[in-house]
Amino acid sequence: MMKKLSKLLILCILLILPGCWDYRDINERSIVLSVGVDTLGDQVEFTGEIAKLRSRAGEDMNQNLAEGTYYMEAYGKDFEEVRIHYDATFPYPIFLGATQSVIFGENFAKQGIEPYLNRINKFYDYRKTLITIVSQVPPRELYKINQEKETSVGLLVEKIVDNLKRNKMTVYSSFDELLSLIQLDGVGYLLPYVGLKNDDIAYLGLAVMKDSKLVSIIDYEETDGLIYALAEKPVLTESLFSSEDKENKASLRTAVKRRRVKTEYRDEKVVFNMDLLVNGELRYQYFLRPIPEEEEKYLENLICQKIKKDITNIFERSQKEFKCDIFQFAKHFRAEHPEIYRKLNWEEAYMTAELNVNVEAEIINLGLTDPNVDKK
Amino acid sequence: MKKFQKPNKLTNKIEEIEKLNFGVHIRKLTVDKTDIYLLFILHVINRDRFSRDIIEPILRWENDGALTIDKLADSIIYMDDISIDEDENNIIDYVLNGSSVIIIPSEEKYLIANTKKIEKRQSDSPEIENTLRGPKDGFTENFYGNLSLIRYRVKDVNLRIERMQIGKRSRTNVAIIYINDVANPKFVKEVRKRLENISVDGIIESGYIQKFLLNNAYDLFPQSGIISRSDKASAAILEGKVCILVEGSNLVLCIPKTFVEFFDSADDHYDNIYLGMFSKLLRILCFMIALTLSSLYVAIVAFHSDILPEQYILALASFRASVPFNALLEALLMEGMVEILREASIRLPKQIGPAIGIVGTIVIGQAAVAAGLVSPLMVIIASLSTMCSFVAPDYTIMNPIRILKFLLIFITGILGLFGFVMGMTLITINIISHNSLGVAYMTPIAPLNLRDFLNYFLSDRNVTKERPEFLNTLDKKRQ
Repeated sequence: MMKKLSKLLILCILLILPGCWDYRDINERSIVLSVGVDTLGDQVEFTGEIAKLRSRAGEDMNQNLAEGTYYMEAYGKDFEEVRIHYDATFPYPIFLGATQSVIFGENFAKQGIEPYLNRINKFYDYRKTLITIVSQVPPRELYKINQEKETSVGLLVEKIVDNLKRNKMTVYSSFDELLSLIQLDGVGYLLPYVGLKNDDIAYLGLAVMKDSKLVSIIDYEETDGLIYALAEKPVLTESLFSSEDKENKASLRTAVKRRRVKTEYRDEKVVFNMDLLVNGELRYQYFLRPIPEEEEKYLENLICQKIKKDITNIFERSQKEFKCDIFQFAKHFRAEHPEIYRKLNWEEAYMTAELNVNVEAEIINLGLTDPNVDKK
Repeated sequence: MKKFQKPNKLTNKIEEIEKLNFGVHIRKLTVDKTDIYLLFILHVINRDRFSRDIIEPILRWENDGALTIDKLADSIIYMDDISIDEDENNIIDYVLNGSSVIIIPSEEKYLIANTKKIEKRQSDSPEIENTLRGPKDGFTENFYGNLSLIRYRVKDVNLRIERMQIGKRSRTNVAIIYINDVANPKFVKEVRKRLENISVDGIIESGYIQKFLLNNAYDLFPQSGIISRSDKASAAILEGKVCILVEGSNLVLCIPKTFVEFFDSADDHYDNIYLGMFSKLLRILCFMIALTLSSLYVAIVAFHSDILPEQYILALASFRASVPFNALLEALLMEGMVEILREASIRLPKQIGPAIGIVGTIVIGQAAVAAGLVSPLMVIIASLSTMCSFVAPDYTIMNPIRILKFLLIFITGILGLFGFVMGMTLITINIISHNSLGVAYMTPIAPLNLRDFLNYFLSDRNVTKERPEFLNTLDKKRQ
């Protein structure tokens, strides 16, 4: 009996003495909400926001949860050195589990973000669902902007971008997609691009990344073609002029019901055939007028032309300006013609590739909910 | 007492009892020159009946002819439950059991009249198995009253009530109740064997028997259920189970009982089929919550905050910002406090119990949060897990959880989720290793029996026409 007890005692002591090796309560960690990476001269710059915790004992439970954030900043010749400086200023260990966005400054993005992507990938405490963003203004300035929409700038930027993606108003690659895309030669990817607009933090468009380096920016207004071509079941709103009454506009909600991409290799040339089936719903007219069948056809044709133009424009820009396959057509071609793909230099092949866009549009709802519309 | 003129074995016994002096009254009556000796213990007999139905008719008897034991039994005594015996060694047992023994010195046999006084309370709604729907006649401490409640519901000629006395000194009546052509004979035989093997000085409550029925005295989980309502006991008997009724206990034992059956309430069988299913799932979920919620809190706060969405992490950190204790200590403190309140509320007098309950939960909880000793979330978790521990109709299944919960919190506090999984694995292995009279404890989940599984969850006699397979009953069909 004594032997058993002593064994039990030794086991208990062994378990207790290591001092709960990973034990650290959440309130005793520096919760990083957002991380900014940029360069300043030849130095790497880490900035970020850390949640400011406040005791809520005896207070009204309906008050805001977090008081705000602390700003952090550290410099060094490489990531490791910056981290050492960074750790030296905090009372608690850094906790990256709540970090939802990593914001790259334009300077750093131009030099290449791949090293930091690998860092995120290998750090077990970084969430792999975080959003990587390119900022027009350096992150250190972005974080200092006084805003009241969210508890922190990082959170606000992440919510804006996430909300646009949910509403199919932007298209960018998530972090886990980036990891596979950076392995493909000649294939670029898109990251959300944020900055200041009228002194307010705003989504400005998409940053085009080639070999993980920032090569160009696509303005928000010019991203429709990419959304039609890449977003999952996109829904966009278009305003079109009536054929008869040029003063009148019709607001149409377009939804891509089917998108097919087929690839061919013809005359030593890569050809992409994109078929789109788009349904349109007339939401309202600026001035209510009856819509005859011809007008309906006219509007359908107008939508087809608009979508086709949007897509081909951005495709041409990708060939001439970005010089990389931002549509990720390589994935389709590799799946359909693996043998040819292996022999091709995709970057070169893409530059001479041809894109045929075939759009079919049908207005399925004229929004005739007003029974008196004919009399008006 | 005078010496008997013609001593025989019975008169010798009377003298012996008188010398023993253990409270046996000996009353001598003389009727028509015949001496009659009445042996009884004053405080265990029903004195009204004794005077009215035994003494009065004997003294009023005015007939010719000699007074004999047979005559007393056949035409004089008014008592209903009488018997005749010749073995003088049984006299003491009869008297101790509350009967009165009538001896005529000239005879070799004697008369026993059951004059036992039973202090009983009215059968009322049971306190531990409350129900919204369903009969309210609960068992009482009255052995015969309890038997009659079961007989009243199951009028089958095959209902068997085997009686035995257990306890060398208490001589407690115990009845094994089952339906002869339904219950598995192996179960009946095993129960009989286990009860016969009990060698103890006294059985005061059915809890004593329940412990003797365990396969191993140190087993953590109960292997027999307790029933305080006659409708539930009758249903168990009809199902093919064996019930054990113990004199002086208002709780009937039911065996075999599997783990999931502890979450089966009689209401499930009376109410809508979907509600029954929902309630059962809810109770099993509550069992899990009661066992794991506090330890999961420790694991998340101290080790794996990353598994929560970012907003929750911030809320959690901000709730805990002023708490001086670490999460492990906080959880142990709060759960300990709740256990103290629970224990106190059981012992407190009924008049002040509810008041203290409110003081305990609201005032102490609120004050602890305001003082920054514990986080509001921990108060919610401790309260929720305590509420969850009350949902099982048979509360005995929750008792091990109250202990295991602390073990799980402790091991999680040391090893995080890894410790939690280790603890849960050990508990699961322990539960699965149990059996009740040879029936696997986790039946019908492990081993999986889909028919029994559906039988259990549907709780509707209209849909489930056969008795559970694991009971291996003689009559397999309910309808």
